[in-house]
Amino acid sequence: MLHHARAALTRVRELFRRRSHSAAEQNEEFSFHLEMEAAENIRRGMSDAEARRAALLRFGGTQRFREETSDARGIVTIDNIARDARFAIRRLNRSPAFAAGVIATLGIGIGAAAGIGTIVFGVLLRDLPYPEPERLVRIGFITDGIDAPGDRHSGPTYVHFATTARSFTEVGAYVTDDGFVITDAKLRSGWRSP
Amino acid sequence: LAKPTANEQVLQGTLDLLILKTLSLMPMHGWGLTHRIEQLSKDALQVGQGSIYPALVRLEQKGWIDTEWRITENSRRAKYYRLTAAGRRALGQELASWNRFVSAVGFVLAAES
Repeated sequence: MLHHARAALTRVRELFRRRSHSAAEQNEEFSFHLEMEAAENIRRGMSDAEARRAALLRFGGTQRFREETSDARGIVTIDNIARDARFAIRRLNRSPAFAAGVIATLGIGIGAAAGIGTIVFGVLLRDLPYPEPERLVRIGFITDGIDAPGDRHSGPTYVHFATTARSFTEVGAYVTDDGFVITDAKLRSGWRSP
Repeated sequence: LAKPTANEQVLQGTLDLLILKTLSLMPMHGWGLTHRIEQLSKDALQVGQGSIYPALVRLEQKGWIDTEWRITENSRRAKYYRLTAAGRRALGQELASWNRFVSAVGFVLAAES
């Protein structure tokens, strides 16, 4: 189990490690190898240039192994994504009408989703713009047999609440066409308790 | 280029086993590893020096070996490879399956009529 986790971790680290860093490490490793091999060849009596050439020959072409090592590392994923993107752009360029259709569809779709999301957030999810909005309540009467909230009140009822209610920190109201609505919070506009 | 005998190329698939076994003796860097494998084979095997690095990356991704940059005796920076506990277990399994393979081939080749 542990070594699965370690293996996964290595791969993730390789992906996130900056590519140039890992390439630089690999260059250093390869050139260390070639220098060691060349030094060994010199010890066996070759000339400098000959030793270096023989070392490269035995290594078998650094570029090929550079690529193979990158493949094994998963760096290839990033390259592939870039290649896929370039390919997609080329194809879309070739058929502009289709491209326009696709872009319009995606644009309208994303726009509509974002618009509806904004409305839902504003109306249903966002807190009311008052301090401690969770303490805000509406005051109303519940009357048996009437299936509607009695939360519209006359002016005198408001004054009554505002002066006598003990359960609320503060009582406020705002005016609608058909009556007062009383709340207990500090409304930005509208009535305040005296 | 002093390579005396037949210079058997390392068979695909056996390189991992050779690397694991050799690293189980002591941690070493890539160049040391290629030479140690050849030396242990009494110079009968020739390891493609470049091909050892992709294999090392694969083994590291399996979690069988660890890497570490260290300073060599000649005070050069080099990447050292070391067997992990999981690598040691894997070596045991790979050895067992290699032995099964060798004896199976042996049975076939020893068959008479």
